[in-house]
Amino acid sequence: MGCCGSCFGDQDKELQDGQGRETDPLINPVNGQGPTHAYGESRPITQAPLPQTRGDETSALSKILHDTASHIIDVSSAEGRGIEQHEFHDKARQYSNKINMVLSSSGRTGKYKSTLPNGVSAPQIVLAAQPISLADIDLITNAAAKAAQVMRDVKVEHKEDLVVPFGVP
Amino acid sequence: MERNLEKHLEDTIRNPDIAGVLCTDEHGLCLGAKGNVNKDAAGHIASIAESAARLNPNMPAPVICIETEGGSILIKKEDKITMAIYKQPN
Amino acid sequence: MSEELKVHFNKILQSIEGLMAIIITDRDGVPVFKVSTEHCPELVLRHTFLGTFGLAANQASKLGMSDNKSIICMYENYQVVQINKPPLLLTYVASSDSNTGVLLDLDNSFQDALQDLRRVVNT
Repeated sequence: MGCCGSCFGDQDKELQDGQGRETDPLINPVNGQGPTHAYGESRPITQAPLPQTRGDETSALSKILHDTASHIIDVSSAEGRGIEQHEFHDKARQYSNKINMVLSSSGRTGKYKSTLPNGVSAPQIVLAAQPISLADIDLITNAAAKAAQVMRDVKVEHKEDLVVPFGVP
Repeated sequence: MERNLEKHLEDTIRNPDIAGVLCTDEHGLCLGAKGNVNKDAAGHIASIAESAARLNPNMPAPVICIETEGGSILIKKEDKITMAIYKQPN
Repeated sequence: MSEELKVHFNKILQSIEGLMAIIITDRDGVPVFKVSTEHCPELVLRHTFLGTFGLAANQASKLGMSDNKSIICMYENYQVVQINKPPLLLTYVASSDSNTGVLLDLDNSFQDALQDLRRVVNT
């Protein structure tokens, strides 16, 4: 199921970002780079009239690199990427100063909504209603008992390997 | 795996008086829901059942009925799971 | 001003059994607002701990299952529930037998306060 979800998610994202279209043409020259001379030979010709194209290429390349880097799950890079101690304290102080300012301008002045519901317009209707019937009590008791019984039978079904090697030939 | 639970919930909701059913575990995490119910309520349902059961620990878990203008909610804890049935107003 | 907010959040803190701390941070883990009881372990209030979630949520969003919403960590005695509410991150520290489902839905009870705090980070 997890696999399925991830596939769908990926497709979804690609469609949304329009990344399929963006990367497709850009990947071709990179693939064609294998025989490098083709790329190198054409350079002197294009160099003079099109310095701008080169700039575009570099920016496109850096965009690809950036996109790839942002799509790769790299846990090791997470270490040490947190912010510095002094920066942390500076920011924390900045927030605590700002919070007073924002709160006083919000005009709520401490009137934060209570989590209690507003109540009903005509309580007598609910209060005068028939008490819960025996049938209902039976219904919920049986349903709960059955659910508990069913949950006891839940077992993990082994379907596929838990560890899947990626890119290993 | 959870097929039997799904089937049980489907069987329960077949009753025309019932608008929705929800089943949660002891941590208030939703195990399954069918019909017109909000899954975010799972935690609160488990919490209500837990509190009610604590009123008299020597008795079996009570049936709780929350009556509102828009129908009633029946809650019962059994073992580690809690079942809630949303009934349409009569 | 923030005193009133503190009172409001302390009420929420006490209304849930086993809840020890509510910490609202920006995405780097810098606390914008926090309330805690004396039972809360000191370590989770430090920035090394709070900053990790932002990074973890960031990495978890790349698994191809769209954006990460929440991360629940269960420990022997504690549970830490963290919810991604850009640009804020909510961190709840509770005992391991507390009701996780209620914690996941807890932000509904302080939506208006959250809106104010969002402006602290945005401006």
